[in-house]
Amino acid sequence: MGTALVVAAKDLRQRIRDRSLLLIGVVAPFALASIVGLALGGAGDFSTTVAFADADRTDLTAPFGEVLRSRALADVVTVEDVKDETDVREAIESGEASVGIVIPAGFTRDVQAGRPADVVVVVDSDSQISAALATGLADDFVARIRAGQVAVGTIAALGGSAPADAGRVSAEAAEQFPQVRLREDRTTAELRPIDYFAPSMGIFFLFFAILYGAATLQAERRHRTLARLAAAPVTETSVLLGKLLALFVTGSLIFAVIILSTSLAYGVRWGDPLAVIALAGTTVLAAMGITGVIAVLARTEEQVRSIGTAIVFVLALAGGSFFGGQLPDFLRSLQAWTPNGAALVGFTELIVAPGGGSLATVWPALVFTGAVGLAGLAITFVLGRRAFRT
Amino acid sequence: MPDLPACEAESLRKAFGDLVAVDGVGFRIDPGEVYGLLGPNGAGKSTTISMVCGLLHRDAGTVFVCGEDIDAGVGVRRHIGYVPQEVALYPDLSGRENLEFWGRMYGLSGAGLRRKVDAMLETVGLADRAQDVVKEYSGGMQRRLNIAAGLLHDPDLLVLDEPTVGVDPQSRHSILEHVETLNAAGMAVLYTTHYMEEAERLCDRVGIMDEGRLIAEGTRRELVESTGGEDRILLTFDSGTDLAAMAACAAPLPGVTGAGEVEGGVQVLSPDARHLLPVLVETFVTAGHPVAGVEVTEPNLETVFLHLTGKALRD
Repeated sequence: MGTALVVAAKDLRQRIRDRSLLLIGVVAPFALASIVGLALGGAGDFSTTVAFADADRTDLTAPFGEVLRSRALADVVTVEDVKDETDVREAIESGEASVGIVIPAGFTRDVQAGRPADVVVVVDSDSQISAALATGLADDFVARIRAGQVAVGTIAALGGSAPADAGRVSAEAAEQFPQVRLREDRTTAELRPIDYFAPSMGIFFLFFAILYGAATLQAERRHRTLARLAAAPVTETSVLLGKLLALFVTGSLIFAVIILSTSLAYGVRWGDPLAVIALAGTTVLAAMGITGVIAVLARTEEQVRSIGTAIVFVLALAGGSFFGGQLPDFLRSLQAWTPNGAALVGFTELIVAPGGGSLATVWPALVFTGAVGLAGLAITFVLGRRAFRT
Repeated sequence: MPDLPACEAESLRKAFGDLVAVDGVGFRIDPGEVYGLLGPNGAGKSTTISMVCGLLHRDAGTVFVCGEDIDAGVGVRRHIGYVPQEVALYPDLSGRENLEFWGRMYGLSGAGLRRKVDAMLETVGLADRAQDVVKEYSGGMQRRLNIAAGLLHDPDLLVLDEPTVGVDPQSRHSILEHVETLNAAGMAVLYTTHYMEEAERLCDRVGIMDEGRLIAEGTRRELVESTGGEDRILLTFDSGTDLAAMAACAAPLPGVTGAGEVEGGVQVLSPDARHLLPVLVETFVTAGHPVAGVEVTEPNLETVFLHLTGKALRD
């Protein structure tokens, strides 16, 4: 394992010095995802329609409706009053509203009785800014009710006590009342373009970055260092393992940068972290397996890059990387049979899934990309070991 | 185990398709000995070395290094310091980073590795360029670093495959001096070259290879004596002269043991050049081809090769 780590560290050092990695692995996918995502996503002054259902209709809840319709929000928020949560969801699904807020019937009664009470914000995954605005407004409403509860409780508890006890008494009062909670409920909605192109371009350029990394096996041959490695007291397996480890680290870092940058810049919600990490890992494995086979079958570094580039482009086309989710029917069936396409489907399912999905959401993609990766790596190992000695 | 040979190869054979690159080659190198494999390009020297170092699968034959079978496991390779014919370094890493990497590949680490790398950089005169990436080095500097990378782990057997090909005279001199120093310190060396002067200068014993076979072996003296210790006469003619015809003209003369065309003239071998020379010159003048220049040299490995193969070493 020591030899593999030394080889991996050496390869990583070389990769970091190769500025093409920064371009291919980080700048290009982010830039392309941004350009395509924004071009298709549209931009301009923000305004949104909120489907609002005050099913409780009490003095406690009425002020919230007034706030939504206030002059201060008039330029930004259009309120569509509906009856209940079902109507809210219908309004969102039909596109009449981007986000919904539901105050359920019995809300005031629950608050007064000290029982838990929810304000529900129904969020369309396609409308992140609207969601943030609605969540903020509802959050404010919940905070005001809670403040009122605490004040009432404090006055009642103080009775004839000295004002010096006010702090302690109000803290006790705050603990007496159950939380008035804000519950966010995401609907399954169509993807924003950036939600599609972030993983799509990430996977596309990941394959390129890994391909260029895999080509270093041929570079070892060109620089005659392969022969020197073969003469050293180390096994071919440990050297290959080190090279593959460097590829895995490179690929994982690239994916991490893509995920972080698109989350921060465009609010892409990649979904359940465990599922995202697992799928990113198997996608990197698939890229390593495919490009590894190309690297050991080719005769020169140039062949690896030229043949590999062609294959990556074909996979990207078949996998739907350039179609923004609007795939022709014949490609839609083909997509699932390409590792990059399967991974893309998996990532987008996590993005749109209520609550961000889970491992169960993406198990077909995990199994397929993992299997392709392991099969490719097995071939790479067998053929790669032969390359050491002729 | 001082009595064990540094290297013992027997009956090595390697064919690439129909081409037999090495056929039945065997030799033994004792500790502290410099053994040279001398032969023209394509003679099979590099293929032989590749089999000795375990880089190439053998069709037949055995190799033992310091008493261990080269096939016994990767650990045997710790005895060998392999310096390939062409520079085998990472051009985008610095000289120090290259040496550190190769040192680690041979099991060095920590302070020991750093000390060894510092010392080696000093030895090959690259201490002040240690942080520069190798692609910025001159060809000679790369060659020196290439050798240093094979020496970090103090091998018992240093294998140098034509280390001076394409090297400027200054670097070449430096490399040869370095090999002499290492040998003086007790390191066994297997050295391949097609430069007769290098083999004569460095090697305790020389194996002469041609067309995949080891055709002679011994010390320089033994090899020269085995061919009769003949003098070599190099005759040059006006341009346009048919050199092959001149060689044929000289061959039947009494006292001539060999005659052949070489680059720029005709080479004639004789046990007594002083007596033969006037006869030769007269013969060519009579034939209408006056001799433009004459050079007589004592017998050496070049003449041995010519004697053995009928062709010059650099053909």
